Amino acid sequence: MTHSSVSHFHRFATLLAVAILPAASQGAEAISKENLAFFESKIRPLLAKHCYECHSEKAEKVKGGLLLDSADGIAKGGDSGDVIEPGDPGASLLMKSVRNPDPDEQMPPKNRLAETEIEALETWIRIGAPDPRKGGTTATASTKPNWTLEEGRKHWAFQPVTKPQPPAVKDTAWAKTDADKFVLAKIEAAKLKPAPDADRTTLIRRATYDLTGLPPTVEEMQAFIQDPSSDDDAFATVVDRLLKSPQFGERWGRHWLDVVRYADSVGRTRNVAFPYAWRYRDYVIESFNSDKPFNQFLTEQLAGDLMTASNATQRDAQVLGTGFLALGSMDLNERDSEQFFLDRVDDQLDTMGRAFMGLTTGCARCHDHKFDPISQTDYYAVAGIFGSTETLSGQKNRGGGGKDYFAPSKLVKLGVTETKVTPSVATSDKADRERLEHRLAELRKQKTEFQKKGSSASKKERKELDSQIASVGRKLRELDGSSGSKKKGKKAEEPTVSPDDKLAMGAQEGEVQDLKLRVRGEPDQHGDVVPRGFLQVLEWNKQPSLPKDASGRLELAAWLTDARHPLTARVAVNRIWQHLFGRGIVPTVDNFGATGEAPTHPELLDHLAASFTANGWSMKSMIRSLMLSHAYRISSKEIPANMEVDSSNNLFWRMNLRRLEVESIRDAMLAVSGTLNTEHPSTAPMGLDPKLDIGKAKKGGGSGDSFTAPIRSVYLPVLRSRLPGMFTVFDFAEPSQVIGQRDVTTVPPQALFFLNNEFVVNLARKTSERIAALPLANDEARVQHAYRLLFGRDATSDETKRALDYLAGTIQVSSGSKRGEPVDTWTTFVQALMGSAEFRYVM
Amino acid sequence: MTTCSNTFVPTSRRQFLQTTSAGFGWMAFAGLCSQQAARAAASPAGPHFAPKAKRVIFMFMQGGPSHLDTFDWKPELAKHAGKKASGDAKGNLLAPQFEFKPRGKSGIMMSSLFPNLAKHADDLCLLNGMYTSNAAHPQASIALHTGSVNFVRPSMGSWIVYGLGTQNQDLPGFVTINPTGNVGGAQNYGSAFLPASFQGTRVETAEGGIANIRSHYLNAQSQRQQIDLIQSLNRGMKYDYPSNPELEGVIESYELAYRMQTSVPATLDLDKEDAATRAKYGLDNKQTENFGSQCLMARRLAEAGVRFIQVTHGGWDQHNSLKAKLTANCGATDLPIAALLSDLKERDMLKDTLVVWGGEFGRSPEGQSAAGDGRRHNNKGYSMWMAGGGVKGGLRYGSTDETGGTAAEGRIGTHDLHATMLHLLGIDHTRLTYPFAGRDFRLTDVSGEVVKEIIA
Repeated sequence: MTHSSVSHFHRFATLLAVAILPAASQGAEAISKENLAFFESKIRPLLAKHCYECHSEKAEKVKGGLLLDSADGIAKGGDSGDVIEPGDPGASLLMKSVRNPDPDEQMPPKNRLAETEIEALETWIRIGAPDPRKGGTTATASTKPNWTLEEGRKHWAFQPVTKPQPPAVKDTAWAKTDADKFVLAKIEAAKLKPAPDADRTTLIRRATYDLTGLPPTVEEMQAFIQDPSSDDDAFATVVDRLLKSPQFGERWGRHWLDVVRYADSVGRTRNVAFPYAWRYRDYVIESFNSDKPFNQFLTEQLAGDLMTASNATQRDAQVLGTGFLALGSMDLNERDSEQFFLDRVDDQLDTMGRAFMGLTTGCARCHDHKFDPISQTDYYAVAGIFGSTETLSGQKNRGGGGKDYFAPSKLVKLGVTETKVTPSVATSDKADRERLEHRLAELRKQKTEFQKKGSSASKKERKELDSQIASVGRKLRELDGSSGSKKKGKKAEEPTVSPDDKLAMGAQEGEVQDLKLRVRGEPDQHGDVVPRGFLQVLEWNKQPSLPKDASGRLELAAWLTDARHPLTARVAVNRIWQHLFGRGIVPTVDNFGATGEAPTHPELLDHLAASFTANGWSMKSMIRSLMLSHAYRISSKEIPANMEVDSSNNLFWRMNLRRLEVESIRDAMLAVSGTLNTEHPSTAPMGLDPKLDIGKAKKGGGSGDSFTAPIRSVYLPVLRSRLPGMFTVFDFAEPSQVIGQRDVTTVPPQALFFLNNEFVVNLARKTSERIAALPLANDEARVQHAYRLLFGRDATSDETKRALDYLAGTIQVSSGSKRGEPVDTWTTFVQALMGSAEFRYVM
Repeated sequence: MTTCSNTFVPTSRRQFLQTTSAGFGWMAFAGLCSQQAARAAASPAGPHFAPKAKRVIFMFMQGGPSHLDTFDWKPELAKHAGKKASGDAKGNLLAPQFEFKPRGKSGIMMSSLFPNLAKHADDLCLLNGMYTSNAAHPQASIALHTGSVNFVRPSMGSWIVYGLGTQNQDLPGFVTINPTGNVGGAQNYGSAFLPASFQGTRVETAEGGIANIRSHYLNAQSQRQQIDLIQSLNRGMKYDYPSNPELEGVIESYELAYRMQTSVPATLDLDKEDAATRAKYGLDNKQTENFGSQCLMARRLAEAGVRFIQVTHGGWDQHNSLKAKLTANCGATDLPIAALLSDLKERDMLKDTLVVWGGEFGRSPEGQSAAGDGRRHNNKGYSMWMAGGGVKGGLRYGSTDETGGTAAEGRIGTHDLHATMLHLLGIDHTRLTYPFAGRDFRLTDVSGEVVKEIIA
């Protein structure tokens, strides 16, 4: 219960009212004239002078959650509880603080109040702390959530996954799979019929884009259309072929890269390249191609370095997954190393929470989650796991004007067999190293404190500190045995990297520790130590105790992949469903919490989740089974009667019309022009200099003109804040966020891109040249071929006529003299097809 | 198209924005169908209360201009010059390097560095109590633009266009002219989790405006034929998807793109201005040409209805040669700024155009460098100014302490600045929210107070 700041007696009398009404400042009229005068002359100026800097609404940073600029604020108290006990100075924290003999603990810090001031405060409290000041307490507004754990557990997503029986349906012939029955039952309940089947031309284009991100070739289309087997068998042949193609992993791997905020540069203030991120990207692609079970995929990403491995190859394959932990967009120039550390942990925790559980766990960093039953304590329990992990991103945090952020010693070394590596440091030195690093961190912290607070430390003290920092730094460098220690010069030098070094981003065990809760997420506002653990709302038996000598990442992965975990499998199958049907069963694919949307087909979701785990978490099996369902194979065309009832297609009575992702639009243009190189470039993204600040680089940001390289888009470097124009106008996933579902916007720069961009014109020209080179009788045949190539279908007679009119028309093309390659009417024709809606939509 | 009544009904504003962007950063594309949807779903497009300002021109002075030598008159600093700075600060106090004088009828103090701007003193609202949380360029720049240092968040221009929509269907709602590539780069005008249609459109004064704005092969007539072919294809596709707003959007996007190819270069074409005007902005002078072009372009964009326009002038990071470099910087910007203010006034547009001038932070009262003619970064107290758009003119609001290092009265932090700008635009900053990752986000996060005292 909060204390009202009114007089003791008054408080008593209004106890009931206080209990019901929110704490309100007492009007000046209720305070005696004398007391008011005392407050105004002695107390208000004192508080304003000594306290408001840190304890008022105007404070740059409110300290301790305490506001002393209003009666409400004082009544509410701060993070340490009630600040005054009206009438009882001895029991008031305020008096203890101003009298605290320790200059670091006393309030205000360092500048002790005059004895007369302390006495004035004492008198004020004794007379009941009369306080006429009104004003809100927004800065300390209650952050108490409106949930309880008990209530919160009832949310649908926290219920165990059930194995619902497929419902009975009237049209039993229609349902090809159990999933179909769940879909059909709802359509029938709405007294509708599903859309008719899509024809084979539509279906192979849809399936090829969905599984590979590329259009089918004319030959592939022909083979399917002419396949004499039943529709089911013929389509199964196509699906199996596509699932086996290496392009499958490139397509589905990219979906996952959206979720894990993949990028080839760190972004933010010092946007330095990640020269080894591509290994994680390739690991993801390979994981999809080899149909790695999802539970294993998950475990490797959280704890691949801790899994047992019988040889270096296996270890490499597993440890690459931990790149997941190192890809965050960090402020490398952050001056407060504690802030940097906590931001890193937050990035890892938040990404883990949304990617695997569809939970916005990161919301609980500063206070209990407002909507979901995740407490701040839960947050720091999980945060401790990541806080006990050393992230190896190849970059170091440097405050100040430092320019060199590349740190090869902070990378994973591949090709070695230990499960735990400490690059360039002998294992026996590890303890020493950790001790020194810890010491150095402490000293540096002291130094920043000095700088921040404008401390009264003497010049001598500061010099002493500097020399200690230098000395510890020297010892560390000696331990590193890096060439730098032998050279003169102040900087610790990083080992040089040769192109042959097999290095990767990832993580390893760090100093195992439980973290202190941070009040309001402020690094320096410490609460209680929270033992590492998992979310309380997702307990199926008691909280497991985590090992004392390990971070607990392995246990975290085991908890997530436990058959009893209600979210992991649901979230994973929902993502797959979304990519095949255009909308998740839970539409908010990254948010299964209270603010997310509820599943439109909860039983279907559970059915899929249960079969997913029962089938060994095989993603390919799940994808195959959904593709062979009837629901996947129906037409996307509108049916007026059904539109009347369900225009949003919540029932999945038709396939959704979907716009291609930017990668597919680009890759398709390259593919139809015949210039796409489908080989996997087995090197780093071109020209990524690990020392270059991409923000400061001229055009291209060190990646040269990679955008026009005829390789698949998934292999282009993803430079944060430096995405190619086409990527930003076609809604590429913002690479510093978890994006399970991309936006689809339609804006004029997209049209301008197709009309005027050199890359488009070039590919249109190459496509028309390719068509011209074919032994085709006339323009009519060539138009027909262009339609097959670009739209995957034949042109209607009207369309052919329209096209021939255009080609025979009065288009005047002027090849800009500087632009080299000739452009003709045919080029502009192909360009028009590329620019049309049909080219960028999957029907 | 006859089945328009069967229109796609977005289930949420977010879904609507995500799928059609019948946009506010750009314009409503999907014709009648989505206009209906827009009314139903896109409630934030429009002010919460009567706005004072309809648009913003933000002059970003990257590097941290010295407030002590420009807009924050500190006689005490001159008096104590050469003395050891108090507290922990290194170096000796460095006197203001330029003479301050009262300007205009209001008599607000400005240094001699801005002789032309000084003529507009009675329109200026000096904000002398600015402070920000970080003293490093990238962090402070990103904070100034997005309100956040620790996370990737939408730019204020994106928020404003999201909140108010656009006034010109042929132009983007948020334009940034010659932005810097460093100190956050595109993050400073990015839309982060807001749909991409709200991101700032980058315009170069040099390279012909915006990307892909003209064809190198087809004249307007031939391109029209090409677009007609594209549109016939698009309409053909609509036959099977009559109520799909995205397809209508594609059709509209081509019509708009076609018009933009004329309207954008026309708006940006400074040759359309007469010689007197060009001279007024200093386009005839090497020193003022770059920023003058930006300011003139800004005026033309403002006239054309663009909601948020940013111009940028870098190089204010005077760790040394303060006197010479400040003279150069102010020389490059003073005339163009004054010209812009006077043009806006002539067109009766200053009253609803909020002009905001400032850098990511200011500079220290203490001198730096061996020669003592530089100043360090200072985030604890600095100055910005506003003009027009419903702010009081001829006002000096807020102050720093005696020697100008720390904001003392009328303190304005980053969230307060944003809250005030939104307020002038008719937006309650606590109600301009966007749902993402499980919660509603604001430009001002969880704080920010409108500085009511500066509102006319």
